Amino acid sequence: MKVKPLPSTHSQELDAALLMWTHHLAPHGIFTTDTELRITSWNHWLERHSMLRAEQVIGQPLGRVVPTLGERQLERYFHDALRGEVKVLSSALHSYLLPFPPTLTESGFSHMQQSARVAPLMLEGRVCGTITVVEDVTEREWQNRQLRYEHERDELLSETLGHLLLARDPDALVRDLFNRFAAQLAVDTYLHYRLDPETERLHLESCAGLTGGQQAAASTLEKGEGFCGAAMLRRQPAVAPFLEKMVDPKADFFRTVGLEAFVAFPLILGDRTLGVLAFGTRTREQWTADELSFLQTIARYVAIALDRARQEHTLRVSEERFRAMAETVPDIIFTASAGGRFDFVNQRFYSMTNLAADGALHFGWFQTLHEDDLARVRDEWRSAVKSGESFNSEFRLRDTAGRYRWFFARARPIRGPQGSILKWFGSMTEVDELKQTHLALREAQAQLKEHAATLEKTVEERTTELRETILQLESFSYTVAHDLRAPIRALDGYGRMVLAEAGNQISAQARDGLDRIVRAAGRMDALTRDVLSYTKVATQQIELVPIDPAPVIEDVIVMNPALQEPRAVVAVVRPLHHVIAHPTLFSQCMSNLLDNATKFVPPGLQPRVIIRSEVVDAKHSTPGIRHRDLSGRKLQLSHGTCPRYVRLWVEDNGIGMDGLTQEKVFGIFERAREAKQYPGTGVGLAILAKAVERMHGRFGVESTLGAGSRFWIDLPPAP
Amino acid sequence: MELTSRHREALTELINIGYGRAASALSELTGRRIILDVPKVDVFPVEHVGKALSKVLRGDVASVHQVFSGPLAGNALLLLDQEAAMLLNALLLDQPVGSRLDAAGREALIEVGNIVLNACLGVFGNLLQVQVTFAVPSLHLESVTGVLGSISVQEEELQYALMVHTRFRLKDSNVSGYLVIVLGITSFSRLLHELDHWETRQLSR
Amino acid sequence: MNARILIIDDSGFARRSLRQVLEGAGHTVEEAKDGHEALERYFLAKPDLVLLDMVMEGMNGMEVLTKLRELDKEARVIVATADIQASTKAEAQAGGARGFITKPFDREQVLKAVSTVLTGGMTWN
Repeated sequence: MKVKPLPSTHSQELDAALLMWTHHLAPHGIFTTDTELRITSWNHWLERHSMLRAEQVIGQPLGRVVPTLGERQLERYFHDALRGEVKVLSSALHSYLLPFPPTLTESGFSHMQQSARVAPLMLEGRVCGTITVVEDVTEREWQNRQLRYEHERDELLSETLGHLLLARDPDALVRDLFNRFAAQLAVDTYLHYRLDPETERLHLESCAGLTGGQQAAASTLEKGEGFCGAAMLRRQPAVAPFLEKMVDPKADFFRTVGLEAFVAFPLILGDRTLGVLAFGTRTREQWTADELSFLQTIARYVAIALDRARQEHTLRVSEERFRAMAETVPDIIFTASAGGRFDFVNQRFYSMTNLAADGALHFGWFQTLHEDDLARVRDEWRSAVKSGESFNSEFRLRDTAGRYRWFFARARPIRGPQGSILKWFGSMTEVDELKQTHLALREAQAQLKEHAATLEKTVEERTTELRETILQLESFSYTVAHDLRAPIRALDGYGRMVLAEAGNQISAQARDGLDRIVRAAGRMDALTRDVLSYTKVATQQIELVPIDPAPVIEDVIVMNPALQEPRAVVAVVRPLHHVIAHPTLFSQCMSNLLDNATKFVPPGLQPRVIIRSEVVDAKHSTPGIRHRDLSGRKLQLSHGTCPRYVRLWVEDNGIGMDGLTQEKVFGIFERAREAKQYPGTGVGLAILAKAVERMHGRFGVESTLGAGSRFWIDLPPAP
Repeated sequence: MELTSRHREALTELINIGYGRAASALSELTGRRIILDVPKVDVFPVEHVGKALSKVLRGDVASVHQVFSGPLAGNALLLLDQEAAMLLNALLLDQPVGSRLDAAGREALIEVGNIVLNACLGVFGNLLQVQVTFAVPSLHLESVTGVLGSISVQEEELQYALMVHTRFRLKDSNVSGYLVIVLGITSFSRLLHELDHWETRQLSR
Repeated sequence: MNARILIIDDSGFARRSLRQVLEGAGHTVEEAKDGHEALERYFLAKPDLVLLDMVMEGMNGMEVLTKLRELDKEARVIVATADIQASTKAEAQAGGARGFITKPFDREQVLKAVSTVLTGGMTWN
């Protein structure tokens, strides 16, 4: 010890008192040595415990007084001290320095437990020896050991129970367990019996501490036989101490085994008895209460664990088979705990999605769901888990490319014997293609429906418009009939009258003016009449019948001198194919066509018109011109339903038309530029167009400017 | 004073040698294989070592404190936080980890600290070829600040603290603590000076 | 206020003492002794708040924290542990915990932390 230099006022009396104390009163052993490790002082405490008086040991080498120091290689501590080091020897690591008898006999220690310190003894800065202090810590160590023992037993128990509950293999369960605590509790034998509920016999499942022969002898117990049988019947532990002296014949067998004490516990689970677990010891005659309590607890938990392990074993075997299969199947296979936590997902899941290994476990797989499906699927899974009803769901999972694919998942619970759910087994099958097709189909259906609705709407609108147009037309024609024509006739009439009455009294210019008025009135009347005609054609109800065109054309010619020789030559190439048409409309058409054909000829040229017919295929012939209605809108050709038509040609040698004019010529009020010098209202061909349309025919023209026109109309052929 | 990397390496090596001895002594004592990992050494002015220690040791620490004197003088400490202390005890004594440090445990710790500190200072003494004299070690359970406070230094000169991260490895476990050696600048410079010599001596062999 | 609180700790003693404190203040308490059980309970019946121990066998506290937050981004977790290292606190904070209380607990500390986090705050003392 580093002793601080004492103050100089220190007196010799104090020195003496300190020495006295060290030698006689110190509660620890204190001894000193010189640099040769010869003992130079030995206090009273040491005398008492070593049974060696100071006089006997002083001057002796330490190694001789305490020979064990050398054997235990503790002398080097003293050497270290001589070099200036202070050494601490804890009881935990050394037990003792000096071999003294234990101060507490029941402690079970072989020697007094000590804690020691060895230090250099310094004088004027030089080491002059060693000083050692030895403390008796036996009581402390014993208490510690007791505490530790208890603690260990508690630990052992909880660890054992912990293992029990995790035990996988029901067969090895009890044996493993036994090996854990047997040594500590000094139990060297156990027997585990399984109860056959039908025969009520006990069959030995496993044991330890018995020879083969003994095992065989104990392998089956009849109902109530032996201590174990008794324990089983009474459902109470059977404690059998003092086997040596026991008179009961039940003890015979165990005596032969060499046991001195025995106890058998029934393995009970609720109202079921599963079997019996019994223990024996050869080292003592009776059990302490602690030990019995410990073993009882073990037995109780063994019952629970056995039951569980058996269930789980069956489950696990099938689980293993299941997993092997799971890896070979192209579907995603999964299992989940009763609480809904995924605890197995096969490789297919990971190879398909982009989750890290094990990332799908617990609830991690939710991460791969499409965000629109997430909430729904979670709810579906949650309610399945809570209710125990099988799980069926469709959802999208994200694959490694980030694409979402449709899966159909199905899971069913597996229940234990009590009906509680042990596990969920499920699979997910990719139905992406199917689903995509299904979706596409639904989409197409929706579009179709929409389209149909739009179509209906359009048709309705058009029909409404049409009706409105017709109504307008009708009212128009009514107006024309009554309001327009009257003033026109007035103009015409009065004009003529003035000419007749005062023609020669007015100037030539005035006369000319009146002429013009009359002529204009006449034209307006004609125009009005034609419009009325058009309206009639457009709106009247018509019935179509088969007709022979030739006589109708003949009539038209006969009625109109402009179409006869010498003014014009109209030749009909017979026979003409019969058509389905309306006689009056048809007549009107031919009339208009012939008017046109004979009117627009260069001056001085006799109009020559050829009328002929042929049969044309609807598809492979010119479809004709689209007709415009009064409002100028092009109407879709509603016909074209006939596969074949009769085409009637009206070919002339007139002035012809250019392409642009051909397009427009059938429009109402349209007149070709070239035709402007010719009289006409410009409605004629429009009437033709409307009439042909109403007869479900087609019309058109081929023409070259300056080289005549060939007008044609297609009408459905008569059968 | 900053440690140059050469000094740091040399110091690490020196302490490592000491640790090797300590480990072997502990192995012999307990009958099991113990390794003290290669230490990580840092130097701080003594006013700053408290902060550095507080960063790595939480709460109350068990500290084995040994004063040493002679030509090389100062304070040596082994610091372990409570958990580490109890784990170390449990591992060394082959007992379950306790819930508190009892008397026997404290004693065992003192012995361990004693062995480690002695070994470390022993190699310092050898290097400097001086005799290092130790006082009896003591164990305290208190905060880092408390520990540093108790090493009241009377000297006038600047004090430096060597902070050595120490890891005990045994039974597939490891326990970490810190060795702290507080020296005056004179002793410290001597130490570094001798380290240089030691290196050149090594190289010249 | 009466909240549903889930205590996750493998120590029966810790769970019992926290239960006493929390039930005494009018809260409803559920317990889980490991990460697996905890996740299941959370999924099946979401609590208002979770008290999570860091050092547990099997799944350690950080793992459980991560998986809880994966399961529910809005999970309210207070880490309640004996591990007082600053790095643990930092880890917990980074992992999305809203509070940190250290063992041994005192009633005030626990209740204050619980009410702070329940009302949307954080407590790191």
